Amino acid sequence: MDRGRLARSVSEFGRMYLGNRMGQAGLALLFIFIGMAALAPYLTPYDPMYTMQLANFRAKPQWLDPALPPNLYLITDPGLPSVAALGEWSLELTGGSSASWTGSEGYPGIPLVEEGSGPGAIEVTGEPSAEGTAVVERIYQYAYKPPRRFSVHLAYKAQVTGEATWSIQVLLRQSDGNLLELWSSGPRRGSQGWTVPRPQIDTNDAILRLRLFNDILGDASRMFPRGGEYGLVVRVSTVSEGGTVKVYLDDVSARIWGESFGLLGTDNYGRDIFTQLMHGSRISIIIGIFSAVIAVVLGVLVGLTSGYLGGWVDELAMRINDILLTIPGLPFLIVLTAVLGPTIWSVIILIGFLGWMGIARLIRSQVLTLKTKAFVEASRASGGGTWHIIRVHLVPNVMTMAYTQLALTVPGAIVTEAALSFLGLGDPFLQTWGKMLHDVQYYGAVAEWWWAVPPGLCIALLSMSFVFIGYALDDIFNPKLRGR
Amino acid sequence: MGLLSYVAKRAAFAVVTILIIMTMNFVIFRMMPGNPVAMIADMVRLRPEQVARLYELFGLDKPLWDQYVQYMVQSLRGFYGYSYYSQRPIAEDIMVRLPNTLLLVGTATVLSIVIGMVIGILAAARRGSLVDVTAISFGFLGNSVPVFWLGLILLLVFGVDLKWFPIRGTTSVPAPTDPLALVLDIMWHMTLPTFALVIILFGGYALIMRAAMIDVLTEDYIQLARAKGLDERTVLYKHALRNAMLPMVTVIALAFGFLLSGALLTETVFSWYGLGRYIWDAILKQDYPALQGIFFIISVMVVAANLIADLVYGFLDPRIRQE
Repeated sequence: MDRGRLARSVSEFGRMYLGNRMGQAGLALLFIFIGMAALAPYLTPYDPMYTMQLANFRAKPQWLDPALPPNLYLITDPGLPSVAALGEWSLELTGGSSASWTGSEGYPGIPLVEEGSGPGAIEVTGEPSAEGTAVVERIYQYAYKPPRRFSVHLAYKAQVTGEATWSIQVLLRQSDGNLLELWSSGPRRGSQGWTVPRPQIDTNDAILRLRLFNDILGDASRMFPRGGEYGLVVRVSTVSEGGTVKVYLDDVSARIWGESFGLLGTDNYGRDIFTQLMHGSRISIIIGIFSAVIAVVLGVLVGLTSGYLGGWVDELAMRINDILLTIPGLPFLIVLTAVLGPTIWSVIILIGFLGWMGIARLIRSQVLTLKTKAFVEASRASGGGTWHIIRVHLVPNVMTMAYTQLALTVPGAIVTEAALSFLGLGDPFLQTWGKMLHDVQYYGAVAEWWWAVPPGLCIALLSMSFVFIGYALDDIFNPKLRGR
Repeated sequence: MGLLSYVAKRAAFAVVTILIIMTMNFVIFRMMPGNPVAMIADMVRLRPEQVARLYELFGLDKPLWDQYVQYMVQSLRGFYGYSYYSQRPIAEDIMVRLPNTLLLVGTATVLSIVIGMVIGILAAARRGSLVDVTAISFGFLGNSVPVFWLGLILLLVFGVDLKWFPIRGTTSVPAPTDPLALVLDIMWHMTLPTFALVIILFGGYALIMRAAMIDVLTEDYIQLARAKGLDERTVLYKHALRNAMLPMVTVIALAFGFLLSGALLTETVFSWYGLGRYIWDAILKQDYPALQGIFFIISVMVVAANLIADLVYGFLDPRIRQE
C-alpha cells in the first residue's frame, strides 16, 4: 500500500470511527482512565501501598460529615525552634522552680528510629534544697465529634548534681475540669539522657485504656466526649535535698487522629483510598492490554496456521482448543496462580494464555473463507509459497478482526484480574482495584460505600470503554452487520 | 455417521478432557516448590531412616510414573488428598458444600436463561424498542461489571441499609426446624446472590438469543411463511423460535463454566456455605490440595454439562449426526 492510500484510508477510518456514537463514548471513557493513570502521582502525594497512618484507620471522607475531626495536631510547634514557640504554652510555677527556653539542648532523636527537631527545648530548673513544680499547659478548643484515637509524644532528659529527685507527668484536662493522667515517669533520682515514653502514649495501647477507663475496650472518645476547652498538661516536679536538678522537655506533640480524611477516607492501615483508586487504573490498564495482546497474538497465530494448513495440524489445534474451552477458566487460574506465585507478570501471562481460544476460532473461519477467494488461488497458481500467501494475503485481511478482538478481549482480562485479586491471589505488592474490594470484603467494610463502590465502578467503566471501542470497530469493519 | 457413533465420539472426548485435566493437576502439584516430607522434616528433627520412611509413606520414593498412576487411580476413586487446614479428606469437605453451590447455580442458570431468552426474542421481534435497548445494555454490563462487586452493592443496599435480606449465610442460625420454614429461610438467604448472578448473566443470553433470532428471520423459509400470509406471531414463535433455540443449547453449556465461576465469587461475598467460600478460605490458608480438589470437581461438572449439551444438540439437530 503506498503512502497516499494509507493516509487516505487512515483518515477515512478516523472519520468513520469518530462518527460512531459508541466509539466516541468508549474513547472518551478510555481517555479519562488514561489521564487518571498518567496523572496519578501528581493528583495525590501519597503512595497507595506504603503511606500508612495518614489518619485513623477507616476514616470517613472529609465531605461526608464536617463534624468529624480531621487530623488535629494540638501543638503547633513541637520543635521549639525559638523562644517565641513557647507562646502557645501557658506556664505556672510553684515553689522553687523556674522554667525557660534554651537553644542549646534540643532532643537529637533516636538514631534509625525517630528524628529530633532542632536545638530548642524547655529547661526546668529546680532550686537547691527546695520543692517545686513547673506546669506547662496547652489549651485547645475541641469542636468536633469524639475521636477514636489520641496520642502524645514527648522527649525528656534530666541533669542532676548532688541529691535530688524529679518526675514528669503528662495529663489531659477535660472540658469538665477532670484531669486524666496519661503517663508518668514516677519519681526518679539521678541524671538521665534523652528518653521517650515506651510504649508510646497512645490510646491504641490496651494497657493505657485499661488504666484510664477501667475497660480494655473503648477508645479516645471517652477522653474527648464533647466539644469544649481541653488542655494538654506536662507537669515537672522537682525535690532537691541539697543538689541541683535540670529537666529538659522537647518535641512535645499530641495528635487527635483524623476520623475524616481526603476524598474517600482511609483503609484499615490508614492509607488513602483515593490514592489507591487513582493508581489502580495503571495496573488495570496494563494488565488488560498486555494479556489481551498475548491472547490475540496467540489466537491469530493458531488461527492462521490451522486454518491455512488444515489437515492434522488443524485437527490437533482445534482439539486442544476444545479442551481448553471446556476447562473452567477461573478455577484453573486460581490453582495456577496459587501455585506459581502471584506476581503481576504471571497473572498477565496466565490470563493471556487462557484467552486465545475463541479468537483462534474466529480467525480460522475467516482464513477458511479467504482461502477459497480468487486472489489467493491466483497467488498460489503463480507460485506463491505458503509463507508469502500468509504474509501478503491472509494477515492483512485478518488484522481488522484482530484489532476488534483485541478491544473485546481487554474487558474479560480486566475483570478476571480483579476477580483473582478479590480472592486474594493478586500481586501482594500492588494495590489493585480488585485488591481494594478484597480488603472491603476481608475487613467487613461493605457499609462503607465510599470504599466499596468506587473500585468496582472503575473496573466496570474501564471495561465498558473497551467493549464500546470493540463494538465500534466491529461496526466499521463489518458494514454488513450494520443492519442488525 | 449415526447417532450412536456421534454419542460415542462426544463421550470419548469428554473422557480425554477429564484425563488431561487430571494430568495437569498432577503436573501443577509437581511444579510447587518443596515437598511434603521436606516440610515436615523442617519442623521436627528426624533421623534419616524416619525421613526415608516418610518418603515411603507418601509414595514419593517411587518413580514419577508410578506416582502418576497412583494419583490417577486415587482421583478416579474420589480421593483427592487431605486438606492442610481442616485435616479431613477434601472429597468430604467438598461434598458437604457442593449441594449449596449447585442449588445457587441451578436457580441462577434457569432464571437467567428464561429471562434472557424471553427478552432476546422480544428484542429481535421489536428492534430498537425499549426491550431491545435493555437487552443490549445488560449484555454490555455482563461483560464489564464484576459479579462480586455487584454482590457487594446489593448487600450494601438491600442487606445493610434496607435490611430486607440477610447479609450472610445459607440459613438463619439456628436454622428453623420446620421443613417449610427451612425452605423459605433458604430462599430468603438465596435471593440476593441469585439476583446478582442473574443480572450479570441474562444479558449475555438475551444477546445470543436475539442474534440467533435475527439470523433465522433472514432465512428463506421465514420469507416463505410470511409470503403465505401467516401472521407475524405465528412466524416468530412457530417457525423462527424452534431453530433459533439450537445455538442456545451449546451456549448454555459453554456458559456453565462461566456461571460456576461467577457463583464462586458471589458465594464469597454472601458467605454462602458452598465451594466459593471454601476457595476463599483455602486461598487465605494456602490450602493447595483443597484448591486442586475443587478445580477437579468443577471441571468434571463443566465437562459433563458440555457432554449433555452435545447430546441434546445431536438429538435436536439431525444435521449434526450426518456431518
